[in-house]
Amino acid sequence: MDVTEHLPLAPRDLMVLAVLAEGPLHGYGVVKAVEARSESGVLLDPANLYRVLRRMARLEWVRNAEGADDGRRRTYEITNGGREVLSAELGRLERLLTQARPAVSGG
Amino acid sequence: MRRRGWAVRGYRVLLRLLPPDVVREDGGEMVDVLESQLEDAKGMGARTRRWMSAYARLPGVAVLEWRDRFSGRRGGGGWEMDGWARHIRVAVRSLRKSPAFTVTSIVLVGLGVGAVTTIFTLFDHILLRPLPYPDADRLVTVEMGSHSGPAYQGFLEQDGVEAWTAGFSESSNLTGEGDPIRVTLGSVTDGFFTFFGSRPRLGRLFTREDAGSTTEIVLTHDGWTDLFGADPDIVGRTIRLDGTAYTVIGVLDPSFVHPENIVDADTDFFRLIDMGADEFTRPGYHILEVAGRMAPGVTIEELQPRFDELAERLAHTYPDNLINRDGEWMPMPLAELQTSTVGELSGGLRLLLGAVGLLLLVACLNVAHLFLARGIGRTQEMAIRRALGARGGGLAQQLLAESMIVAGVGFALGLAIAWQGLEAMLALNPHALPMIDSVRLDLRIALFAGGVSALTAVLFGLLPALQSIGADLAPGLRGTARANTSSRGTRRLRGGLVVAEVAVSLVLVAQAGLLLRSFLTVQSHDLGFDAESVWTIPLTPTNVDTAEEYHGAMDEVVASLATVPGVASAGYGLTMPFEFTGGGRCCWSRRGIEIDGERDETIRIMLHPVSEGYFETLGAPLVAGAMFTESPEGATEVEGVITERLAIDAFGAADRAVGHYLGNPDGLYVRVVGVAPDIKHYGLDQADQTAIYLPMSALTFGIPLAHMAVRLSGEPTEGLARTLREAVWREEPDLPVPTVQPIGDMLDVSLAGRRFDSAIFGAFGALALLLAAAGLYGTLSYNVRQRSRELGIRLALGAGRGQVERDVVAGGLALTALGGAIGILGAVWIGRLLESRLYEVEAADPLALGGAVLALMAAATMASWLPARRAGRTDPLETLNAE
Repeated sequence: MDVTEHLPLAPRDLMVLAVLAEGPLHGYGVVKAVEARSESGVLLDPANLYRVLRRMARLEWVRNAEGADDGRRRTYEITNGGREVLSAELGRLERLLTQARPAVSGG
Repeated sequence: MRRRGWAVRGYRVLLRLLPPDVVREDGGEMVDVLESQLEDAKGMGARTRRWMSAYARLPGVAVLEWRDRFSGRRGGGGWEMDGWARHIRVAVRSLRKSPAFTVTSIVLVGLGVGAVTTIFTLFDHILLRPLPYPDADRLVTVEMGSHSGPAYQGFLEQDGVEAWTAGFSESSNLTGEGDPIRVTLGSVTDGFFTFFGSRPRLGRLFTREDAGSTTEIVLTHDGWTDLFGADPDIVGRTIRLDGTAYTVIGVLDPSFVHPENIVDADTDFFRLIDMGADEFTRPGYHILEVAGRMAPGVTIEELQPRFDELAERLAHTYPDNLINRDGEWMPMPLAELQTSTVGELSGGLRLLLGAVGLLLLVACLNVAHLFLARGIGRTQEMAIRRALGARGGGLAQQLLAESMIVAGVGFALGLAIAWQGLEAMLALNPHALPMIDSVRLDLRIALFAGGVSALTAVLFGLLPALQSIGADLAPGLRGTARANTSSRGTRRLRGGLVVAEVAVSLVLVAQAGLLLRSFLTVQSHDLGFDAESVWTIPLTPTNVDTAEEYHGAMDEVVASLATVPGVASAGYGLTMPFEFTGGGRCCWSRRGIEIDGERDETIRIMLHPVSEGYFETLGAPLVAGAMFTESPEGATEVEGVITERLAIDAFGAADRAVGHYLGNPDGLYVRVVGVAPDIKHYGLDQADQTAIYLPMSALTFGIPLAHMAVRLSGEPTEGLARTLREAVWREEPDLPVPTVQPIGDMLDVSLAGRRFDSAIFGAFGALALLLAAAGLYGTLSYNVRQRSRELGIRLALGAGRGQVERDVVAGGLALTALGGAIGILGAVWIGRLLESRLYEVEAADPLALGGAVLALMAAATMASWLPARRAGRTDPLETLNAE
């Protein structure tokens, strides 16, 4: 899979992948983790969350984690493909920041 | 199963918007997540925010899911919200962050759209829309005054015209329906209603079979409802007008529109003209207004020569009536009925349309300005967003969304303004506008004006995106956009916009100045009498036939009025000052007069029969001599009072006139006993008249026109109008008394047109001035901000603050001067169109032009000084450090 064709990632996708990279979560767990990180008070609503998760499942960036948690709630975990995309996007952003930061910091 | 809150249950319902497979797959999970979110949310506010955001975002997702189903697309990536929903959301957020910009540009678009829509609606309604009659494009009229019976017979014999109709209207008194009421009675030919395609609501209208019948009457729908309470049994009823009995044969449909060049718009009754009557055989009885329908394919140009022939032939048949002193026969110019109906109004409306067009232009220039300034200020934002991966197209779409939101909201505001504006225009000037009842807001023009504004907003809103697409991102990212070369181009563009705005504003301000000067000049004239405490009562004594009856009846009415408590004096005349204003004249004038036996053809005199109490009641003490005393009926030599103007023209000075004799062609000799001040009888903007005031007894015919006046000794008492009416009815119970009003009201009405002109142009001018100043201010502030580095360096190198400030102001004034120069040329050129509305003021009036330039310069100085001060205060260290 050529990961670069999916770059740049939408901020919401990036955040979902980032929180799942730290371990499997169920839907509400993803919401809480993303919101805790974004600090800006951005709300993630159920409809958009599951649309993102459905698309990522199709792209095989995430999958349902078998047997985890209480069995009632569906739990998601990141795949290797997902990690690849995530690190490609982070690398792109880092390069961009390296180029752009001097302008802001005055260096 | 746990009991869920209503917010969660509501969400379940909303889920049905999604495709069923999505609901099956994730529906339960989604509801769980929302429920957990609501449980964890702390406080009412947080919970509300939660569910509102969940509700609000679901429809967007539903749209996307369904779109995927139909397009077969399966999730194009996380940026799919790049769709318009996202653009609009982002645009709204971005617009809310700069409320000054947003509100200003919305108001500008609103004003432009509103003003243009209002005026164009009127313009279109009155000038462009075909008259609501069959084959309206083939209708013509013969201009140059009214026509006599013989002339009309001549028209009927012309080839090329299928049908003719004629008529006139006059005041009439309706009695026997409560208090006597003054109404307007139209007299028309039998083909009138067929000609104009009118339909009856009740009964029938006149047809050819009715020819010669003079006792049948047709009512308009308004007359039927207002005067007879929409009596369903009206047809067949007998009513009395001026003492004559008529049988109602029908009521017109409400869709009937008065052909206003034939009958007045307030005509409520129609009867047939008896063409066989004596007066319609007289070539000097010019009363008929006509309309004809040309045969298909015939043009006015083809018809005109035949009417020239007819006019010449008629003139030779009736030389006394149709050939003037210089041996010229009266021409008979044909004109389209439409053009003729609109008449003078067209000039005024065109002018207004021009003015609002200019206003829209200034508004658009300013919108362009605002967007340009905002765009340039966002170069950095655009560069960053591009660097973060936003595509040029996406950015353009988002800027487009901002422009469209501003244009859309502005458009809605404009519609509201236009709606209100139209009401206000109709209220300000209800009598001057024909066919006004059916005006509807014109959506086409609103869309046009909105489109122009939207185009402006879009064009100038997109510039920054276009620039960022082609440009090197680095300077933008470094925040050194001020140095990039494209800003010099936009600076020039902004300068050009300011010049254009200044020029257009100058034209509007100068026009306002001209009209205001005319208004003030007119108003500054001396009335010639004391209008304070004078009330007037116009009467139409249609029931008197002879001069004796007329004098007798009116003398009794005036005597009755004089006994009313609080009335100091009472008098009457054929007419009162300001009763006929503008171009109107009543009723008795002669060219040429004998001065002590010698004929002088150059002086045109007006004859005013007045009662002995006339000047005392008006508060116009005689300049010389004394008031006349009444002379016996039928005397050929009477005493008279002449105006100061006539005294000067005829005898050289006011005090030399007394004792001299004036003779006029009616065989009446007037011994001048007194000289009256020059009363502005026909309006403040009319020249002083050469007039003779005669005793009422000199009036040798009965005429259905008399105007009473009373002077009050104190303040008007409660119910004065009723008391005065009853005083009239004590002597003449069948006489309608439609108005009892202070003479000042008539004065106000006579000035209404000029007041309207100067008010509306003043408002447009002030608005344009404000817009131009705002544009200049915006441009200069922006330039100063852009040049802060250069200014900082100059200040650091020791340039004086005053020097820097002067430079900025000079830059602003240079733009203003250039715009002003163009504007003066435009104002002089456009001023010519105004000339007919000006009074004692030239189109190139230096005071008005100079005043406009001064006003603009003052506004420009203010607008430049504020940014200049900021420039002078630039801190050299700060700006250099920022690099």
